[in-house]
Order: sequence, then C-alpha cells, then structure tokens
Amino acid sequence: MENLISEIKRIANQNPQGFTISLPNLEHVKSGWIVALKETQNSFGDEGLKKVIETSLNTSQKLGGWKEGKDFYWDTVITFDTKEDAIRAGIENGQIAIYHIETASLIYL
Amino acid sequence: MTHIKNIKLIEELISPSDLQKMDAGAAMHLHHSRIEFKVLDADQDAITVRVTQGKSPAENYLSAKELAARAKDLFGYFIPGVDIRARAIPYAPPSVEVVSPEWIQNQMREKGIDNKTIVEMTGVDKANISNWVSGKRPMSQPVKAMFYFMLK
Repeated sequence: MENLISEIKRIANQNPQGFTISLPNLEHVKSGWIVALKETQNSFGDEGLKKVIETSLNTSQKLGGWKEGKDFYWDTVITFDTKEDAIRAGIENGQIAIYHIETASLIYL
Repeated sequence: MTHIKNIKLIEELISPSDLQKMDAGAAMHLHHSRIEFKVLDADQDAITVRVTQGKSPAENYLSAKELAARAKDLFGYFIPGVDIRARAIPYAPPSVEVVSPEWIQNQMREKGIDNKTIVEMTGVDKANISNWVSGKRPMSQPVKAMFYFMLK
C-alpha cells in the first residue's frame, strides 16, 4: 500500500492539473465516459488518498486526482463504454457533468 | 479558484450558479484533456474565447475545429443567443517527441556515429548511453533533448 501511495503521489506531482489512472498498473485512462463516485467526493490530502485507493481497489480500479490550492484532491472514477450508462451513473452519483475522454467532450446533467 | 481565465468579463451575462457550473465544466476539460479557456472580450452580443490544448496524459488531442466547438458548447450552453467566437490553438508536440530508440538508431546509422562516439561527446557513461539507445531504459525529456540536438 505504501508503495502504491508513493507512486500515485509521484504521478500527481507530475500532473497537478489532473489525471485519471488505472490501478494497480498506474496507466493513464485513455477511453470511456468518466463518472466520479459520490462517496469519494471531497477527499483530499494523505488520508483522502488512502480512502480513495481502498474504494477504487474495491470497485472500479480507477482513480483520479488534481491539485486545488495547496492540496491534492482524489476521487474514485468509474468509466463506461456507453453515454446512456454514464448519464445514469452520473445522476446517481450527483455529478454536474460526465466526460468522454477520447473526444474530450462533456455533457451536463 | 476559477479555471476560466478572465471569467470576470462574463460575470454580468450569467448567474453565479451557472458561472460555477460552467467553471466546473472547464475544470473537467483541464483535468482530462489539458484544454484551457481564456475570455478575451465579452459584451451582450459576442464573447471571444481563446481555447488551447496542452500535452495531455490521455493523448486525446483535438483539431482547431474541434477545440472551437468545445468552446462554443461550453459557453453557448449557459449563455445562449450570444455569438461565441473561438480562437483555437491545438496542441503541437515539441520537436524532441520524435526521439525514440528506433529514431536514435536510424540517425546514428545515417551519420555513422556509434555509442562510443556519443560517450566521448557527452561524457555520459557507456551503460546509460547503451540502455537508452537500445530502449532498455526509458528516456527523460532532457535525455531526449540531448539525443535530438546531437543527432537531428
């Protein structure tokens, strides 16, 4: 776990504007509709990262992060192949919008 | 913290809650695609926006036309009826991005340079040079730049 935390922090420091990776291989996610999981919203700092890693490993195996002010924020990310599934999940998770990685397009919900 | 630069220029054209939602959308474009928006000019009839894309970890690069469409979608969604004029600047990879082990090997062959010559020219130890040239060790950006300017 400590090694995983350290590697994710390294990726975060290289990508403060944001990133989404798969766990445990730490590869950047390059396809699908992105939806953030409601239960990991407002997770930040080291404690937040631990919680989000655990949630991600137990669910979608995907994790996102970005820097806001001095802190890194983290969330568990779910990807969907279809817009319809993503819209449904986005609404269930209280999201403002969903995002399609390949086409860099967003849909407000 | 806002993600749209010069967002104050459009504050009078949109409600605070919609402004917040628009900025959240811009944040998603930044997080997932390194797309950034800057309001250059705004009045009741038209908004001029510069939209640029940087190097994206997801490698989801858009053309100028597609970037302009994203700007029009984002601003037009919340401020309908206003002419959205987008100045799009797509991502242009730095020249050194051509550097790969295959590129280095080809350039060395063309120029008749071997590993020993590179070691002598750079003072970098032979093991490192050999590993980079063969692809056994990934190259950092400064290492790519070294090979690029030596072999281009």
